Amino acid sequence: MDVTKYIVKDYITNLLKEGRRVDGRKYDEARPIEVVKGYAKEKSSGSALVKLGDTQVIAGISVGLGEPYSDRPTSGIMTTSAELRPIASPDFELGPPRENSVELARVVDRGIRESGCIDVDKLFIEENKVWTVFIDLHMMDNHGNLIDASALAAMAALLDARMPKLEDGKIISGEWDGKLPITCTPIPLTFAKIADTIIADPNMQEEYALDARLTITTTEKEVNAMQKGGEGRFTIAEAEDLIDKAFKSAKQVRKKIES
Amino acid sequence: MSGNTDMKLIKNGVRLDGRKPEELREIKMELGVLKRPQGSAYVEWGKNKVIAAVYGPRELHPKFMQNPTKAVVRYTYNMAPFSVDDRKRPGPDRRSVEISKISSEALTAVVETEDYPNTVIDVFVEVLQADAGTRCAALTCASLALADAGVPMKDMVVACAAGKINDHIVLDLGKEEDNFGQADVPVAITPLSKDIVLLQMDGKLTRDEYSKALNLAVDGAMQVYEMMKKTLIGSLNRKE
Amino acid sequence: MGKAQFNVEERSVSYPGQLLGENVRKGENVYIKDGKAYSLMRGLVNIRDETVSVIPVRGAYIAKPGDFVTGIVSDDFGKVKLVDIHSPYPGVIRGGDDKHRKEVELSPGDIVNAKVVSVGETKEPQLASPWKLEGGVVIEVDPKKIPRVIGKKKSMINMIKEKTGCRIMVGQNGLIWINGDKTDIAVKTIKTIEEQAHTPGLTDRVGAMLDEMIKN
Repeated sequence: MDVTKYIVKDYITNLLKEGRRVDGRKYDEARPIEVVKGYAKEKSSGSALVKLGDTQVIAGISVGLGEPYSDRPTSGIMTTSAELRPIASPDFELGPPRENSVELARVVDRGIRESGCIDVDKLFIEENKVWTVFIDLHMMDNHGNLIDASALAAMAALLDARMPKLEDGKIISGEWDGKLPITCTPIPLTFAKIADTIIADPNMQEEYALDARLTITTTEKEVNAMQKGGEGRFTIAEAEDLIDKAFKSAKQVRKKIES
Repeated sequence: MSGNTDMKLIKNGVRLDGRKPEELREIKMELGVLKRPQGSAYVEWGKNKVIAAVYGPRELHPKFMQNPTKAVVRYTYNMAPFSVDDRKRPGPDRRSVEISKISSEALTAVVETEDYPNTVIDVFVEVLQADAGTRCAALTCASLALADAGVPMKDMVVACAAGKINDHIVLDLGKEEDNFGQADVPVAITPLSKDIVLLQMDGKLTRDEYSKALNLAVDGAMQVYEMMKKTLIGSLNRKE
Repeated sequence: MGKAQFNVEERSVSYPGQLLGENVRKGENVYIKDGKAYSLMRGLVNIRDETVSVIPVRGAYIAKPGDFVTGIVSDDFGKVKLVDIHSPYPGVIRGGDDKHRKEVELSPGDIVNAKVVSVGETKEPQLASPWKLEGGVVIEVDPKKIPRVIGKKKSMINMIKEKTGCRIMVGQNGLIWINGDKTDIAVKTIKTIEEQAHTPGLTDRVGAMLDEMIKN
């Protein structure tokens, strides 16, 4: 049982009333981001380690052959899965994915899918054969805001990803042929509401103390995915205001991920 | 192990990756790579990449699993879906369950479990990139993570494998050697006494070949142990 | 016993299984086999007379009688309460133990500071004389660094209390309760001490840092 998470809420709320956060950041300041592309490049199509402050997530991209969905016979397939493994936090347990990891995977997936980030039309090979892109999110060290860290790791890994080499309809292991076709770079930003204050990129303690959170994934001109979590509430004005903040902050982060 | 002797895995004493028969792959080690666990370590062994984390000693739930005389050492070996050529579906498979069992038994031999009755010492190892010999890299990494966490141990545990390719006994099989070779013998020892705490074998070996492989693996493990000592001794300069 | 012989130097870094010496006396985190002393830990070697110990860098907190600990009440079994003190073994408070003090009403979620009076065979520490701590914040520090946070003759912790005006209760188990206007300055200071615990001249540097932060 992590003692401090039960104590921290009052302290954080009081600090926020004075305009301060526990780690000294400004309200809309995210923690520093570090990206290592190709972290597992020997075996996977693409991979990336992202550090968001102390939070660490590794994303791996595996590209394989598959059958298309019957209603989209010329489109490739993408699927995202997440594991909140106990290595990353004493709060995580072994076992099949529970609601937190399901939500996380689906939120990350939504931003990538709805923006058309992966050009699935270019993943068509021939009748009944398309490329399937698996995005696997592996949490390694949880210090808050796994959603953003995971989505950023996924995006960096996608930009890093190579297409497998195909010869006579079979994949040649360890050989690559070009890059995975990517059209844009959706970037997430998660905001937390604690009492009446809204802050960007909650760290571990802020995450324990939050009443509600809102994740907004944007590309240059569009909003592609949103998710509200937690048992608290947002006002309509807040929900609109945060979209502007998300567009603004995403620009810097996008540069980092694309570099 | 297919024992496919058509494939040339060693020619004039040189293996596919350029190594000599008794040469280890390149190994890197680092302590304290994660912050939430009590201890952690990272090992790169050839193209293998593994991270181990230790939580504990901590309360063990459910209570019926507690041992009133000592701590339970629980080892969970897991491969990330993207760690292998053909994506592996997330979740434990039978191979991981087996590796977890024998690895926790290996570590229990050295951990001073009587110091912490009714608790669990959880060791989680994640394989992020796999290229044959992952169970040895994982166990070695776990041993470092336990030391990083301040878990009392009489000795370290270090693991290494040897095997047979094209009728030659070689040290530390790589991927193709593991796939097309004739035998694989992973071993883990406690270096002070050179006692064996993990031993497996699969393939075909004569009595003499087995003896050669076993001793070669132990030699390899002792070389890895030298690196572990250096890593442990040097681990405090960077921190404080 | 033959002549004592050491294989390592004072303050060198040790690892589990390292040979420390022969015919020496064993201190903490050391075991003897066939007359030879070996280390059980990664830590710093400490040699006093003929005794060798290893001071660990990390490790779980195990309560000793006489320690003061800070924790959170986790379970209420009527007369018996369990306290999470961030140790593999929860603290136990038995009501009605202390005849000289008025009984303190405790419920799960309460923060307490209490004294460890005994540690039984089950390793669960018996706690007595609990003080309920209202408000404030509890932070977590590596228990091994607590002596540095307290300082020689409490010099460090008293300096922090004085300069920040905060009420602070330090638990040997690494949990520290802080209450006051300048709590965040106290928190930052303690975290800095934790990071730089092994470096010399810390007290002066911390004093200067405190003055700087309070000015702003």
